[in-house]
Amino acid sequence: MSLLSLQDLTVTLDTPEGPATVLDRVSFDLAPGESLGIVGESGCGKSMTALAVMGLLPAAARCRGRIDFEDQDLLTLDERALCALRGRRIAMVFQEPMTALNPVKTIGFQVAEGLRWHFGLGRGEAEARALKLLDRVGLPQPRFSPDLYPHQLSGGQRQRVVIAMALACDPALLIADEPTTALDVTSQAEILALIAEVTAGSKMALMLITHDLAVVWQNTAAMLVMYAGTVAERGATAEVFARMAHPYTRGLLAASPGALEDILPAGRRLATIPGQVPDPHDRPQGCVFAGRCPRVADDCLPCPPGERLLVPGHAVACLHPHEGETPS
Amino acid sequence: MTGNPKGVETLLRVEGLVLDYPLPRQRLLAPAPRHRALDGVSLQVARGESLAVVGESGSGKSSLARAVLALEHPAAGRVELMGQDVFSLSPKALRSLRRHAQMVFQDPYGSLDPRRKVGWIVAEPLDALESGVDAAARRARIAEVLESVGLKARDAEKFPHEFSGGQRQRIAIARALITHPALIVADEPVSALDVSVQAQVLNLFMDLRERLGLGYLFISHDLAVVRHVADRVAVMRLGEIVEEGPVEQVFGEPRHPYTQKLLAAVPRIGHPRHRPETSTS
Ligand SMILES: Nc1ncnc2c1ncn2[C@@H]1O[C@H](COP(=O)(O)OP(=O)(O)OP(=O)(O)O)[C@@H](O)[C@H]1O
Ligand SMILES: Nc1ncnc2c1ncn2[C@@H]1O[C@H](COP(=O)(O)OP(=O)(O)OP(=O)(O)O)[C@@H](O)[C@H]1O
Ligand SMILES: [Mg+2]
Ligand SMILES: [Mg+2]
Repeated sequence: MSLLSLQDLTVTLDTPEGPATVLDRVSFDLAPGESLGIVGESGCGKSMTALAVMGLLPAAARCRGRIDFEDQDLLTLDERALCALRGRRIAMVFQEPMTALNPVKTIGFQVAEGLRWHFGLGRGEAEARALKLLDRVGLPQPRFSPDLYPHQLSGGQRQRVVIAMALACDPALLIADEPTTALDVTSQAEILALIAEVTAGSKMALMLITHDLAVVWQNTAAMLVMYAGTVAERGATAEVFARMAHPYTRGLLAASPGALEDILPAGRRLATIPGQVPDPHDRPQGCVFAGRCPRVADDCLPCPPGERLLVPGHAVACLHPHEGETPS
Repeated sequence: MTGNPKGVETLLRVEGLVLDYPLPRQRLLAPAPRHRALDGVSLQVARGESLAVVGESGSGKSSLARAVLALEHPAAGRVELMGQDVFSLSPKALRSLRRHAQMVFQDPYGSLDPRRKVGWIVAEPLDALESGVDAAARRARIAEVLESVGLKARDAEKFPHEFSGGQRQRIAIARALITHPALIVADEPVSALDVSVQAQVLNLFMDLRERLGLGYLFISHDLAVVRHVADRVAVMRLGEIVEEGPVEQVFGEPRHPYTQKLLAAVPRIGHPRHRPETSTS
């Protein structure tokens, strides 16, 4: 039984240069308590996927397909019904903490707000719980007074406040969009362990968006690799890492500074995937990755490759996937 | 051209910098407690050199970056940019000094004005400094700098909200590069970028260093990134620099226990996992 299920979700944005397809038939399932990592280059549609589930797409967006969450199609819900879900059943940690924080409200007020709104708690009780939540995310009293304003915190501390807000109402699904990019490695490890602990402990499902393959490896059971609004590869995380079948997935691995750490101390040049993600206004026919792919062949160009199953639980949208194991 | 003062070899010299922030009062009549974010920091960056500052969240890295550009007022200490003491300059002299030292901020969204088009945002430091740039030359500079960070010239006509998080950070970098500065103070400039673009931007930073002799004060929590871009690294903890030295030395033989802890915390593919169970989806 799945908690969240996307079926052929297509999102088109109306822009002055014409319609831009930012998501193209994206499908996946997420069961209660499960974890799904989403990786891909900048602009490939990771945040759009998250915003679509939250019902927070820009006004210029048009959606096709379905987003089923707890047996309701979110695309058919009105704003009031979405408000009742947001922050309560589905919570999100945003890529940039300042987009989620109100600069003129104290952090104590902001962490307590969801509890007051969704559970009708009184001010005193909500603020007492807020202190516990702040403590839990590593902002203890008295150093981190609830009377602090967001600008009085460092980047990483702000993100911890946002995580406390997201955990406040014990949601069924936590969407974390690059939750730790603003954090140093020790805090990153702590925050990810914290997210893993609370999600596993309370059967909270986790959708973890990141550009760090090592973070996906360490924190998710299943993963999607996205490219230009489409799913390039998917499967159980260990399976996908053992055999990165899509040439794009291997390109991402080669460009990871972490992956090269031991081989390239003074080399100073990182591998890049040549070229750029195609503009959502003029995506090529055929495979969207063809223009940058080292394995491109004539049959890649006429029409986009469908997804095919390599082994149960590991699928790739490529006509010429890598066959062997991932080189290490 | 850029008009950098010649013969200045040390771009940045920081000595004994101390910075305190007031915190909320615990009781109405009690004195406001203070938090010491920088506690006697000293460092130097030479022309063409890149110094990385690493350290855990809250250790004072962003505070240091802001103080270096005189955006904070320290309780003690000196900051010299291109040989000039930034805290004793008139606002006008400070503004003209800033052309040589540009900042890329940690939060790409907060640092871009949402009501302005990208072209205006990118050209702003130029407009503030060089009033006589004619429209065609200005357009060409904007196009050149956008392309150098992997964006398109026509992106100048768009607004920040039309870009993804990583694309917005490239806009912020383009804005810093447009005046051809000698020093870039970059606060987590690539942490919002995915690996491939991150690699492009880091390579761009390295190219600019070779081509233009740029120096960097490069703040990052990502040790793998630091290893690629920095000559020297300073490790900060609780407002102090606990260890400093050439990157190979500090990462190869970390002496301070905190540096050792930092190095051990880097997530690696192949390490034990928090969520090893397989899924059905
Ligand atoms: N309001 C908007 N109007 C037009 N295009 C937009 C808008 N918001 C995003 N886009 C475009 O949609 C695409 C997908 O953006 P999205 O934010 O989902 O990327 P992302 O995968 O989260 O990238 P990043 O890793 O940089 O955050 C990008 O090409 C972006 O330029
Ligand atoms: N305006 C302010 N008022 C009060 N305290 C502040 C203020 N700005 C920063 N601080 C505190 O000073 C300390 C240093 O903050 P700073 O932003 O320099 O940290 P950082 O090293 O950049 O951390 P991060 O990696 O999380 O961005 C933090 O503990 C923070 O809470
Ligand atoms: Mg994003
Ligand atoms: Mg900071």
